[in-house]
Amino acid sequence: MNDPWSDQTEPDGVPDGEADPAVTAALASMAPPSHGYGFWATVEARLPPGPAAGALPPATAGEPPRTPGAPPPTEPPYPPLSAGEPGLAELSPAPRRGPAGWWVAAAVAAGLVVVAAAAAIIIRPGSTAVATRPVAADVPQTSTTFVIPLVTTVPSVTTTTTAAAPSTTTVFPVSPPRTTAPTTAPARTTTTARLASLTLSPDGLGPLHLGMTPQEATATGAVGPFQPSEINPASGCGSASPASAYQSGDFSTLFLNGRLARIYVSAGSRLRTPQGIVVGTALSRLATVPGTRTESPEPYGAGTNVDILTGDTGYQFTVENGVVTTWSVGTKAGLDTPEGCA
Amino acid sequence: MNVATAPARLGNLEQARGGDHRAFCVLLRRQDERMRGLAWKLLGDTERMDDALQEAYLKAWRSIGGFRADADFGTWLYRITYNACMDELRRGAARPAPHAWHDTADQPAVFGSGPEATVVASDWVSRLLASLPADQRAAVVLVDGEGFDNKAAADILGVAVGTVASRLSRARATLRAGRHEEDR
Repeated sequence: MNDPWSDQTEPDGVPDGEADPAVTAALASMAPPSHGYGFWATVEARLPPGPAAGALPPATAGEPPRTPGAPPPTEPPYPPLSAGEPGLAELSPAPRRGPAGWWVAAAVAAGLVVVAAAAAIIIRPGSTAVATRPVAADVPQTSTTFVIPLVTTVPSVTTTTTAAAPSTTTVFPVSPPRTTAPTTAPARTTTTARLASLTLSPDGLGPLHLGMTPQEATATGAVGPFQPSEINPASGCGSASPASAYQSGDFSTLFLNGRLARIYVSAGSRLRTPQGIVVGTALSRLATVPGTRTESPEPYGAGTNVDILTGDTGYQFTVENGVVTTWSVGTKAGLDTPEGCA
Repeated sequence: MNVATAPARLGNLEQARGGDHRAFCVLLRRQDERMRGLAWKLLGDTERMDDALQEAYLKAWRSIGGFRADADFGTWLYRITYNACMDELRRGAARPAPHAWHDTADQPAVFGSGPEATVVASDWVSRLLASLPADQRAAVVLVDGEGFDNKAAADILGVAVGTVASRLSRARATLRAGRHEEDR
């Protein structure tokens, strides 16, 4: 391109190609306006549930750069969820439900209960074999191939694995019925074993324990491979969360000095404390958690952080409006690191 | 000059990756002024700035699962915002007066330290920015306006460092020539 200013000495003394201080000062002090009314409300309303139907490439690769003049791209091709990676995600084939979804499910469940109750009344004594047959036998695939999110308050859902479960158990189709054959007993055992690890305490998540390296954590086989490459080699700090864990919305991790120091739990997670505390639990129930309790304002958001420690490990519950909104388990150092690796 | 973007709080970042809207919005609000600065200087219109940022933030939410926690959240978000602004420019190519910094009645652009300097600077910088091709405008906004070095700007723009230097040189020359014209 023919640049009329090339190879010239500027009359203002600024070397050719260097920034003009006057322009730089003007640009740097060019304050943007505030958003229009309702901007944030619109953004938050448009955020779909769950962070990503899939994951874009890492930030270092980032969103594909575009050149001016190129046509706007269509939505990026999201890869499938945690392809090939074992972990918690495989335990939850059911899509996450929004509040409306739970209302629908609750309505269906209520309907089933009514129908079952009516049947129990109508059926004569001579046909009790029909009346006492567990509903689960009719829809076995719904009773063993999904995980009910722990935030649900329908306790009877998980009772269908027992033969003695009454016909009024609310075996509603939380997920679309699978087309495969009914789940076999070995698969049920495996699922049950994995479900047991959904209790998170300072003692860990099943075989996963605080203080482990990413490699040790991966070797437990609890939730899929951790990502040691995400840990800063100089500081030993990083996330290294297994993709399956945060894509399923169950948890994410913080490593300090190369060791697992904190496990974060957010809304939508199926994890619970041994006392049954989940996101959404009332503040008053934190009294059931043993340990030394301290409270402090949440440094970056609304609410209060309630730390309950036993020795050098413990919980941190963030409470807003009397309800737990997020919680963590971690070492004291991990819980005392609100800035993470920043 | 290299200006480090505000570091993301890993706690909120990890919670956002886990699907926590609230944590994600905390992250956005911490970076929002920087993103507004970029979008405003590229688009020059409050409504279009908001449109582009809404799209950028939604894209960021959809892709946060793939964000590497050891990367810089601010730089990552800059890149998404830049692409959203380029999309907005293309969509709005047929709109009249795409750059109207000085026409913003409610919140005029702020320049200099005195009232007179403010008015004068907003006039000529607005006009000059609007005269630049979008790619050159982006380079000069990021480097001279936001304080990134050429390497960081290249990462955000997705081009080679040499390309940034070339665009920057041309943009600076145009701006300087324009300022001399304004002074006459």
